[in-house]
Amino acid sequence: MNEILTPAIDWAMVGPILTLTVTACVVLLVAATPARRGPLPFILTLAGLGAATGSLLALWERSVHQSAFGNMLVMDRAALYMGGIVLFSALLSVLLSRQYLERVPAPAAEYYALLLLAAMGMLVMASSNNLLVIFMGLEIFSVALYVLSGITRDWLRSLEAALKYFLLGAFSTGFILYGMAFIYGATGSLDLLACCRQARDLLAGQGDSGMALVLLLGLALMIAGLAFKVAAVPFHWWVPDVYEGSPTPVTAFMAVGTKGVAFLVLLRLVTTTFGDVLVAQWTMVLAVLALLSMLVGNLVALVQRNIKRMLAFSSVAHAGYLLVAVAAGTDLGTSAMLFYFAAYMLTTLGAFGVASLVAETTEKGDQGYGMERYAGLSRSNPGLALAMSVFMLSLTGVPPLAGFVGKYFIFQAALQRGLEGSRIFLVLSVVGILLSVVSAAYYLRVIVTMYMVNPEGERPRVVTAPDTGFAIAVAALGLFYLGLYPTAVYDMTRSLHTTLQALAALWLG
Amino acid sequence: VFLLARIFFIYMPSETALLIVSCVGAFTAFFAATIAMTQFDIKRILAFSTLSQLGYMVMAMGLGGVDVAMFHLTTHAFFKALLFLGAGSVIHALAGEQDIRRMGRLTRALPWTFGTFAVAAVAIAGIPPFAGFFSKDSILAAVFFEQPILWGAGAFTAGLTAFYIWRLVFLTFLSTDRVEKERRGHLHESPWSMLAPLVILAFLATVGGFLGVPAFLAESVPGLHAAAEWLPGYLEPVFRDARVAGTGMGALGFHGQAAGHGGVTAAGEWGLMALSVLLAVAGIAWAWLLHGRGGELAARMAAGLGSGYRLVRDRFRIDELYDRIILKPFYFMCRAADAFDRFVIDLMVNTVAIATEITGHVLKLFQTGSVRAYALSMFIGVVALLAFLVMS
Repeated sequence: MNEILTPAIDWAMVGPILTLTVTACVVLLVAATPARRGPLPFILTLAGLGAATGSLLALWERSVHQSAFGNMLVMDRAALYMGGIVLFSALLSVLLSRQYLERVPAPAAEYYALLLLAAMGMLVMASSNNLLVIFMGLEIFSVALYVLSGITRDWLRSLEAALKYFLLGAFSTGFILYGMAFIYGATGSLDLLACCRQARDLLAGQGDSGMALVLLLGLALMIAGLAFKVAAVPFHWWVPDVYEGSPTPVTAFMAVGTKGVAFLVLLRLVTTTFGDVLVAQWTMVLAVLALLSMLVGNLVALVQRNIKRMLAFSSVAHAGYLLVAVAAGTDLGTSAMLFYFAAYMLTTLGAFGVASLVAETTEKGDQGYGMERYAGLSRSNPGLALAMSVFMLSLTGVPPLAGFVGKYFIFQAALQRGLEGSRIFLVLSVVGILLSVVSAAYYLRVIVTMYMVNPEGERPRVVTAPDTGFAIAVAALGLFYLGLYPTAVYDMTRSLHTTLQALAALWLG
Repeated sequence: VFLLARIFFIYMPSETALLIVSCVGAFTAFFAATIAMTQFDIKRILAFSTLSQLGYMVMAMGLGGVDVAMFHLTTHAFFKALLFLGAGSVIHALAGEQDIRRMGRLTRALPWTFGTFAVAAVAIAGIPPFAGFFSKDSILAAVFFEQPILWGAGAFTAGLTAFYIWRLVFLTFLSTDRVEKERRGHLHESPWSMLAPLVILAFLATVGGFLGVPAFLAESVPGLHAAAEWLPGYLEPVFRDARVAGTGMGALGFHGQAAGHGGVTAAGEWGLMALSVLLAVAGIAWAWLLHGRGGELAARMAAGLGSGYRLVRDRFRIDELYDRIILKPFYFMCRAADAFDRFVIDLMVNTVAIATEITGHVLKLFQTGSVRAYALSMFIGVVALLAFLVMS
């Protein structure tokens, strides 16, 4: 009898992903039992996330480059860093969700299960070097998020958000897949590293020149598709409507997670595969996308009166800043992007968390996201007002908060390129800084409303459950920590760029 | 004055500078004294008197007599402080009245105030052996040997000084009773807390002159030898270097005793002193004549002098002049700057802000909510991207 040869499976490598999947399944089982109404799903989710984080941390200590499944799964430092961010944001989102879910007509257990599966999909996408596995992870979390955004299906707004997200998401997934197909066609491989070698050969003139064009098309389409997920202009249209319509904790998680892993894949693409081919082209493309995103994001956020929409456009603007760093294509740029993303994660989760508390959430719908709702918050809830002020100030980029440090690094990277002679980066720097100043207007407006505008009548005190309060406090304190001691986290991101490029070198050499 | 003395070494080398300083000083002394003669507010008179005495000090310094000037500064401090405090006492007694035309016959009600005030008035007039005599005379003597013209102005002004200060005394305390009826009831001598300083200062105004008794006098009068020129001796280290380095004017000391300056005799000194006293007495007498027993003579004189008198009384209309040539243009500039700030600078700043906001409003209109529009825009974006990449 022939033995069935099983490939060696590095279980430790898939630890985080596996943990999340198992927990999700368990929660789904619980959802079928009467226990779904109790605290069990919540506790299980937290436990699962905790375990996943633990196994992730265990992986950090191992060698710098580890791969499994024939190089389809790569838990390098970049993947672990972004994975850590995804898990951390999932944790905070869950903590923010519990109080929210008490008031909404949504099945709580399924909610947690979907959240876990979304996190799992994000991890898969982040830690993969294979085009198809990237796609798989992308689809897993995308579909989970489509459902999550419409989980409060009695609300019209929520359904609208879910449908728009789905339609436009499907559209962009089409782009990504088509791009992947082209790249595969041109290079004959799905592996990003192998593609790199082929790409170089093609563009050096060897091989079929028609294939070079195909490769180009593939790159363009993939950037377009990823730009959708990242919320870059002109692929950003879904963001305000979907962010506004979805249940707020979902928005928070969505805003952080999808952006993060999409940015990471973009980074891998331009650093590893197209590291030294077509550099001028993709730099220009990304720079233009960044410029437009910063412009549209900041200018339209300026005139929003709904805090969720304001935060939505603000995340478009932040996508712009992050794209500047990616476009720079240097070590500093990569580190800056990853570091700023950590800060962005904390501010987004915190701001949306406060928004979910201040809002008036009932069975019928989610109201109270207008700016006037924040008047007098400093008197009724001084702690929440203070936390919100911290988030707004970090988004503006005020020291000593993390947002300032991150923006500083980003513009430093841009100026570095600019002073070397790349004029587009000078434009990006100047425009970016000016727009940051403009952004102060709408971020500080929130603070002014909270502290200096008198509400009509008595403003009732917002009730904050301990876990929600804890999550918000962690976010606020984290911003101070990152702002005052950036080195600890920054060191994690250092030389990732070279690492990513080195991978290519390994393959080429 | 202190500052001028301190930086004496800076302008001393320049003969022109010194000349300007002394002329300005002499002019100030004369000018202020004439105005003091025509004013009716107690404190105004004393203010112009201060100005005039400062002119003396400056004049002395312009001629190198720095220590003489400091001496006069000291004695001036004694009697001027006394005059002002006394004036305060009078004003307090009259419940706020400061116009000397509405005073008179206050000796009985305010004996102590009157007494100390009179001592100060005597001192400032330059009557020996009170303080003002020694210091003013030192200045005049020093000036005489350098610039006789300036001495002439200074001496004449000394006469004017005696006049205006005793005019003040007569009109305030003596002459006819012109106090307003309502204030009469309020009339009372000041409490000891206010009178004590007056007495102390009166004592100083009496004996303060002996700080700087000139040498020739000290030798003449027995017992004064020890006190001879105490003040200049004390100040000597400060001005010694300046004086040694100087020539001519800068080398002047008390009564012209210094290197390279001869021609001063004891007789000359005595003569000058006598002249000073004479002028002072004349001034007091003239004041008594005009204002001692009612001011009809003064009034007729004023009317007779007509516009000239009015000019001096209105302080040569300098205040109005300042207002016209300095204050008005300045306020105009302020208003202009304000207008510029509000209509130009604010306009620019606000325009930028409004333009940004309008751009935001315009861009926001593209967010239509229509999925088809979104998808179309994304498609156009992809096409543009492709086109760009293919072209390059």
